[in-house]
Amino acid sequence: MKKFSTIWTIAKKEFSRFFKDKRMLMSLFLPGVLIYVIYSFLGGTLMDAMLPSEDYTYRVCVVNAPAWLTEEALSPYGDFDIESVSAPVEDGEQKVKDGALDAYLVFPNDFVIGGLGGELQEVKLYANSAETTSSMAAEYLTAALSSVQYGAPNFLLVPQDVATEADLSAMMVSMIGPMLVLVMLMTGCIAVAPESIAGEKERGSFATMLVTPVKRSYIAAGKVLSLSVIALLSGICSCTGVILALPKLIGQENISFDALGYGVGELASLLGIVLSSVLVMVALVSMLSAWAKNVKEATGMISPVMILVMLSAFATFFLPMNEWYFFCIPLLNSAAALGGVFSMATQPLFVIITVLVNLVTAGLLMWALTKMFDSEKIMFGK
Amino acid sequence: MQENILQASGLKKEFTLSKKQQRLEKTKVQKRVAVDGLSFSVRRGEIYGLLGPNGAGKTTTLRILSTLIKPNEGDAVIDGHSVVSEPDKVREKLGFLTSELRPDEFFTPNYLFDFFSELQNVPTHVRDERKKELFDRFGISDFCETKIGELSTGMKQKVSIAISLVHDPELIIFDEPTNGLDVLTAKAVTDFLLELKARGKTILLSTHIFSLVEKICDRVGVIIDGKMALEGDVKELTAEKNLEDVFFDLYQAVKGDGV
Repeated sequence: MKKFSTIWTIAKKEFSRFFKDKRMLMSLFLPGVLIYVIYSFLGGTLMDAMLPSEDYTYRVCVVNAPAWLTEEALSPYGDFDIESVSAPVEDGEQKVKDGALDAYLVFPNDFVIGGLGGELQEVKLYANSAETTSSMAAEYLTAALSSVQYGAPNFLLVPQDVATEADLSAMMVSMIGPMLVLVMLMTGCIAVAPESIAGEKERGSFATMLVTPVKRSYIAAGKVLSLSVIALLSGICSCTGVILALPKLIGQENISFDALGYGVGELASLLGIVLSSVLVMVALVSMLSAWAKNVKEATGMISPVMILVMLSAFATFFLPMNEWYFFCIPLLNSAAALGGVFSMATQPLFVIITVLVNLVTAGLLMWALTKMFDSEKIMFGK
Repeated sequence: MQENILQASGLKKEFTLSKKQQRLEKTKVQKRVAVDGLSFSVRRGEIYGLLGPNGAGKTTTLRILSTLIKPNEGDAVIDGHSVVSEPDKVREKLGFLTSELRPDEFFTPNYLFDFFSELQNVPTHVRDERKKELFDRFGISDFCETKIGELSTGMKQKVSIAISLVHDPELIIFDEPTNGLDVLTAKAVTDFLLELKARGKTILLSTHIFSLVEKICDRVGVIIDGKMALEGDVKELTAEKNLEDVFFDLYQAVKGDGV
């Protein structure tokens, strides 16, 4: 019995350590609350944003359209604008590629609906899987044709994906890329900042700098810049590892980075976004580390920031990132701008806004960090 | 009459008590006064001791003087510069050593001496000469490339002293300089304080060890409950009885019988 009472005594002390410390409790449970709130928000509104808007009209060209395939018949799925032609259009496939059409449906010349037996007729559906509207149009047309197929299984729907290897790779990379880069950079920040600031504060070596004539702002700048470089190196290292393993990781062996053909513009944008983002992250994590009493507390306080970073990257899947004001929100702007670069749809104005907003934010955070270094309550509070 | 290198006038420092502290101390008072209108002066070239029991306000006073915290009221002028309005200038003039300020144990004495010399704008040739002198004086030279974390407690304290003197400050503030040291290291430290005095430096130290004050201090200020209860020349104060008796008589007079 003594054994259990000893174990209980030890466990009780641990419970007291965590449950009687408000800051510790906050860092333990805040991520859960935050996830609930933000995921509910995402679930409620952002999921809708992913789909084309309700009043979107799908543009479809149909060759040899059967009489039953009308805009009205497709109305349960959405608004369709069907252009009916009697012979294959020469540039039908190209129009889908270019986005002038959402789908191009080709029925054979003498298409007749019927039961089993007879020759199986091929119906070709051209769509672009790298475009949301085209994918949705294909999905709805497939659903509509499948319902007809139950009673008339004498034709076969043959999907023809017009997306090029580069389109598909860009789509995959633009979806995974921002999350990957931001999370890796954040991981780098978390690996260095708490140790460098909260750790030094905890061990008493930080105050040795505070009694020198060096300005607090220089200490803040020296810390943030050096930590940014280290975090960046760590992030680059992790990103390289993941990028190399990515095709296997997601089971898409055919992702081709060569096919993406990123140019100087994309690389320069990438560099600007990454450098400015890492400054914001390090400054933010440094502030929390300065606020925390020790490394353990700092690590706990930082986890909500990591969740925010992940959610920012996640939000770019759903939000239509084509408004300038999205790029004024730190973290979200980095994710959105990275998404643009990876999908080779970089808009220079958005990249410039992102970099400027990030630099201003990092400057403000460094100013706040300087004030924190000057606060006896924060630096010497028990 | 020697000039004053430090003049503290009406220093006051209050700390806000947390709800938990209020509960533990069974009080509803939200503020605690750690230093209460403290005024004293330190003359150039002397060793001045701040003597007092734990919690009297010695460390808080030294933290104010070293510009780590700001007083709620009052000011102190160190070598012509105010700790309130010119903290950067004050930091150039003083060296501060306390057990709460510890050198980063990951680095070597050599690296940290150079690092702090740079922060204090010490020219390289001066730095190298000073480093050799201090490292030889404290026997650090053999361990100058050993990580501080791997050194003994006594050697760490010696390294801390050497690092706090990289800029050869005029005023050196030591908070409990011999606390936790064995007798040999404690003697090495007190001998060094006397050496610094012989070189014309001024030393302000806080302690609760009477013998240390009697042995090395020229003047002493006794702090009780954040107030200066007694200040004077150590020799004059101990002419009739030893410092310990002087202190207890004073303490009893201030606090009543509850010693």
